[in-house]
Amino acid sequence: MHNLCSATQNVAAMPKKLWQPKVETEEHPLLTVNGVSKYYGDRAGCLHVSFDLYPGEIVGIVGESGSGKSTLLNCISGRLSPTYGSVNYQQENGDLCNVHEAPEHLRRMLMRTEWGYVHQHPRDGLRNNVSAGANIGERLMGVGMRHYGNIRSKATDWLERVEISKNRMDDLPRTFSGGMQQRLQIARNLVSNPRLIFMDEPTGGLDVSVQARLLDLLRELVAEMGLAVVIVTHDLAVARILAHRLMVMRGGHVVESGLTDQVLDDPHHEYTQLLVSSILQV
Amino acid sequence: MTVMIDVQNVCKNFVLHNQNGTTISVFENMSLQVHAGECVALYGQSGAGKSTMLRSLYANYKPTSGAINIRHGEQHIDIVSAPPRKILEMRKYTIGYVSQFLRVIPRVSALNIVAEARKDLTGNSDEALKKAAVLLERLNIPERLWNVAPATFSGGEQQRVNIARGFAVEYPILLLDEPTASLDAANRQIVVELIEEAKANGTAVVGIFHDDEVRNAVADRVIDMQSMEHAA
Repeated sequence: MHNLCSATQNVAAMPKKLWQPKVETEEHPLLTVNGVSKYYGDRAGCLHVSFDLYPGEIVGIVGESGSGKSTLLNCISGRLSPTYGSVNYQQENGDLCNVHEAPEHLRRMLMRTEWGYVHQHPRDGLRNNVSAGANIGERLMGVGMRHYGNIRSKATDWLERVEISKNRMDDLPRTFSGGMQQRLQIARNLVSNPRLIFMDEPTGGLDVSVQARLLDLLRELVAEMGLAVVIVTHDLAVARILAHRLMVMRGGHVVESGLTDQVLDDPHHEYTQLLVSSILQV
Repeated sequence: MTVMIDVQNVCKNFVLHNQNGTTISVFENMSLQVHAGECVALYGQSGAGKSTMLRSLYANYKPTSGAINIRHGEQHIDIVSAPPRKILEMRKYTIGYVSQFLRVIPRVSALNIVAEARKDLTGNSDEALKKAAVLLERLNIPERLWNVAPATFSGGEQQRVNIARGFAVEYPILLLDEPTASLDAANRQIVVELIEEAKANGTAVVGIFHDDEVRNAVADRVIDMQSMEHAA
């Protein structure tokens, strides 16, 4: 059973001398994506995509509409079955799980404990006919928490962490603004202390000031919780702020990948150069 | 002396695919070694490739060929071919970079911007904030501005916040892209002192200084990028 109480991770012992890099033991990737291709009939969604994702790493997938970003995200997160290729996930208990061959119950278990998925439209990721508090509490109940008082107090905590006033706890999500709904969706995903979050254009439909605030919040939470994130966005500014490294997609292929600032400041591929040079200056 | 940076036969071309595939060759077969406690100044006209070199050392630009071996802890790692994760680790522990312009996340206060890298490194938020305050004070940023996001600061103030950020961690390697460009004489002098202190501490410094006075004060060696180009 997933232990909900092991919430706070111990901060690793700091190196004595500041500039002596700590010897980092070779970590295993959290997620290994191997040659994933997805065909819709004879049309390809994404082609031959492989990468490793390590704990605490944030990967941005950028590209224009129709480039295969969301198809790839859905394949990686087990929501779509790829036509070819495999995705392996290292569970918290150390077991390796082949995402697409795992039994349904295991996949569902992962999705509501160790994983999270933040949709572009909050209404796709929220239960709209139950209260904000119940939205946050759902994952807790899903892993066996039954004490109403505990669930409620945990929900209160999380509402505060995502900057929603706790007296909105019993209101329905549809009475919330777009930005609040998005923050509620994030709280609902993070309450189970996941290790891996998938995000599909999380700041997509929001106006600029709300978007900036949400980015601040995401940055803080992700760093604080040491989350690994795969984020799909067409907004290169969002990618620059959040992602450690980028994969640039076009026509289903990853055409360029690397360190975020390197890809954006010194793009090598024709398409990346076009993308970067198309940003409007304010 | 320990070699901190070892640049071997580095070439850098920019291929502009969307502008008729124009290729711009910035430098060819450039080699350079920088030792601990030494300051090397890159010198040359605009467009000679000074910034490109400096950015390559930080892996912000990716050279077309060649290797840049960086001493990271006890290891020597080629930053040109290192995976992104390794580069981020090297930037965290080993290489500091002060860019020409402050580029930050909107609405984060000056104090937090300066403290951030140190906080990430040590995990000690209070100590990092104290160190940030000391640096900001030394660089004459008035205390009333510490909790304001620097987007509205003057050019000189932004540059000093940027410098404070670079010096908040005692990096073994420090890269400076015109750190004194928009500073008055008094603040320039403080930056010179900061660089001297870092050198005394064993930091290898590579910098671009347009100001002759500053360059003469801090540089142990001057590399003429123009002659590099001709030599190639």
